[in-house]
Amino acid sequence: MSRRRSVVLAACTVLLGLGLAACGADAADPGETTQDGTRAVTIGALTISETAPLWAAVDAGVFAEHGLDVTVQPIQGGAQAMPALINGDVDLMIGQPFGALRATEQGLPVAIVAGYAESYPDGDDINAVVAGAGSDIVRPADLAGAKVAVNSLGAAGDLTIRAAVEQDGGDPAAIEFVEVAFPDAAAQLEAGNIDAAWVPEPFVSMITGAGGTKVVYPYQAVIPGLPTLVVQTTTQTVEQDPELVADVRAALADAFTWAEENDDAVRQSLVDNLEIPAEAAANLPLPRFTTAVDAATIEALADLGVQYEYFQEAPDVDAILAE
Amino acid sequence: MADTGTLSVRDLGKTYPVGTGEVEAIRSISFDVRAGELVCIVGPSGCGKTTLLKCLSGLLSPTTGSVLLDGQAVLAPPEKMAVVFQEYGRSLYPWLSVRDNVGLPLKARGVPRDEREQAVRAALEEVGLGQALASFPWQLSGGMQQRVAIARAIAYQPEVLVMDEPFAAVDAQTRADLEDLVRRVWQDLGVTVIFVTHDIDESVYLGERVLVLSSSPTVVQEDLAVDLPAARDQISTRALPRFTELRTHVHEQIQHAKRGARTPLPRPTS
Amino acid sequence: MTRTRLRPVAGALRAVGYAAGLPALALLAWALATDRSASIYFPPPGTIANAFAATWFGPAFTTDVLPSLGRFAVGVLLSIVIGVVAGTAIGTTRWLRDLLEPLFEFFRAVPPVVLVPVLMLMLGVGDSMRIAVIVSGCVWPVLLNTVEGVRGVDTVLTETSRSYRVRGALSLRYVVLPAASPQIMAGIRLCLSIGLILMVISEMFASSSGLGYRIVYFQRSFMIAQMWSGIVLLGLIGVAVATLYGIAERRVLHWYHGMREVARG
Repeated sequence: MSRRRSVVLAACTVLLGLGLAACGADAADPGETTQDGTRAVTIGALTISETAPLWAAVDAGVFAEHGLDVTVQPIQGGAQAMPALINGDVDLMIGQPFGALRATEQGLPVAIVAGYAESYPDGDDINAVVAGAGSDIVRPADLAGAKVAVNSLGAAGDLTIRAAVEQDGGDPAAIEFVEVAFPDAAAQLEAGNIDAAWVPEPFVSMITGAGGTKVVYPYQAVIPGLPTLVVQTTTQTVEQDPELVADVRAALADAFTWAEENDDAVRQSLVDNLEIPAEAAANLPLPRFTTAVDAATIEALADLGVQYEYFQEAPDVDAILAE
Repeated sequence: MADTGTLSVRDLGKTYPVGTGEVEAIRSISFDVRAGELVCIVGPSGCGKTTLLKCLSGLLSPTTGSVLLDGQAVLAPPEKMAVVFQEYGRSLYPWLSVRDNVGLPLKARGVPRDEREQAVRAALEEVGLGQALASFPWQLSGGMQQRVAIARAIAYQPEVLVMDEPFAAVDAQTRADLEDLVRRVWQDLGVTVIFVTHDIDESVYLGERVLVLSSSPTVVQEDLAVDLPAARDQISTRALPRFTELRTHVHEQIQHAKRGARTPLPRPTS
Repeated sequence: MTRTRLRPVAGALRAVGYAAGLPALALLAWALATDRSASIYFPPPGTIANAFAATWFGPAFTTDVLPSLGRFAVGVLLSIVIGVVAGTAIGTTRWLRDLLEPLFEFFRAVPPVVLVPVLMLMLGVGDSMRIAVIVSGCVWPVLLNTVEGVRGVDTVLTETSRSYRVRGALSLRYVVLPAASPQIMAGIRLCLSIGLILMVISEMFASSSGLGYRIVYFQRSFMIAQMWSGIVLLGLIGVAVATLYGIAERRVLHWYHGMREVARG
């Protein structure tokens, strides 16, 4: 959701030599044991509402019970954080599954070690394609020929939208995608600069509340229950420190159970970490949190990527999923 | 000789505001120049020669009094007047060729291209720079640059040619050549020439008349007729006893002026 | 005899050596460094060269490179025209200068990047927004240098023009603008480098084509060699733009360089 910041950062990183991070010191080895017997773990996470249970559970001491001293490292995006993951500055990272597939396709040693959040297979989903008030776009097929905003092109958003449009009988090649940061989408819709936008909550509610139309839940329409975020690390960590991976997975599962029972604490962490007004935080729809990964959905995502030529060759999903 | 090109300066005064007060550069200057006359203006340094010249050429408006060209008050640079500045290096356009430097004022006047080209060539021939058309000013020596400036004035076909210490920055030999050039141009074209200089010998050698200015605040200290033969020559003219008398007289006048005098010394008899 | 005949050849060789020497050394250093490390983020030069050919000598040239260059050219040209026209008006008009100068200092301090969301709302998400981003950053050096250049015309030259009644458009064309041209050209030089940066940055917002977009896309997609090839292409464009500027500057300011050379003796 901090797409604008991430773009500026990307500009700087790209132009000033992205790899500087990769040259950085080999920081603390994953799972280094501190004096009191706990292991220091750094988890990279986006500063978005989905991270709330992690912040809250860390503060509540859920991870400490598993002997883990967790530092949540804010990251700007999966790709931007990847060098830090590779060189060990960050031990694990919470990012989109599509990013992990893409990284693997390009030969980066990345593995998915646990689930984190997933979209809803039915009912209200947590992201949607919405059209502005008064638009005659009402169904996926109408998006063919329209200008559709996504936060980041070449990822799960536009991929599932293409599939949803084709599934509805539209021509996916006729969609004109454009990158617009999530927080800017509503204003761009209103200004008539774009015809529709793919946004997560709370923007879906904001736009439909202002008279916009919900066109489609692309995840739900194409791959019901597709994970939005998964826990990733390097294959090296998976091989050399299975204990750490197992501890994190177990702790995270406890954290989600704890979060379900302590919804107030999770909502409060939204207020504390994202400065969302308490009232809005209380009503913000959140995804389903689970450490389980439905391999079939990842498989489906990979197949879709191949079908729409996002991937040149099929990623080896079995190798990526280290469970 | 042309019958136009008469210049009258009437009680001309100029004060500059300085800070909260003001400085009186010129108190009151009055003189007349007949059409076709060559008048030199000399004076001690800092006596306001340049201020006077800027008022004459309409670049500066006087605080009091007026300048009349053929009876018309000069309120802006008049079309019948050309000016040659001391700083040739700064008064020629370095981005224009010699041809375009000389031709630009004619273009501003709306002279057709062919006619302009002819006038430019003739003027450059007159100053002995017929070959330098395509050169840029900075490729030429100082003396040649000042010749270009003179050619520009000639091509402009003025009735009055005003020159502000034009040879102050060139070497002695070049200077002598340029002095003779000015005499020749004056005789050939029959224009009125006002030649400002701080060099006493030069004023006597060139002028038909020499106006000696006092120290600032300036008045005309003396209006001296130069009764030397019209045909002048660097060697023989300067060797004449009368030349020596006149230059000594002007020299004394200026020394006198420097001491703050406002009235002339007795004139030398011819 | 032989020496004099060889001298121009040797001189040319030396010039080529100087121009190519450091890049060649850098390339060698890069090759040696990447040869021994296995970092995915630092592919060896050969890999980048292959990626360069595969990426840019294809449809990407027309879908990304040309649109970028087009926006850059339009943005920079607009900046130059606006900067010179407004700068001349402001430089020659006292009250306009007093009125606008404080405002300039204000707008100059605003980084074009923060204007992007506003420009996006006003101009949409298309080329006009991107060109506006370029202009919003590029116009200042040209404008301010033009103001300074026009104000700084030698007084003797101004008086010469006045006394010969060279006025209006003629004075602008033959006196004021040429006199200000060394400063205007210096402004344009800055404008070009800022323009290139803003071209890239503007394509990182609300984009779906262009070099800047493509480089970020490659970075996001972990296509590291392609990303580096995009950076190399940007650098090459920078060199090409600087070369073109050099040619234009030598033509426009030949008198200025000639004059300075003479002054140096």
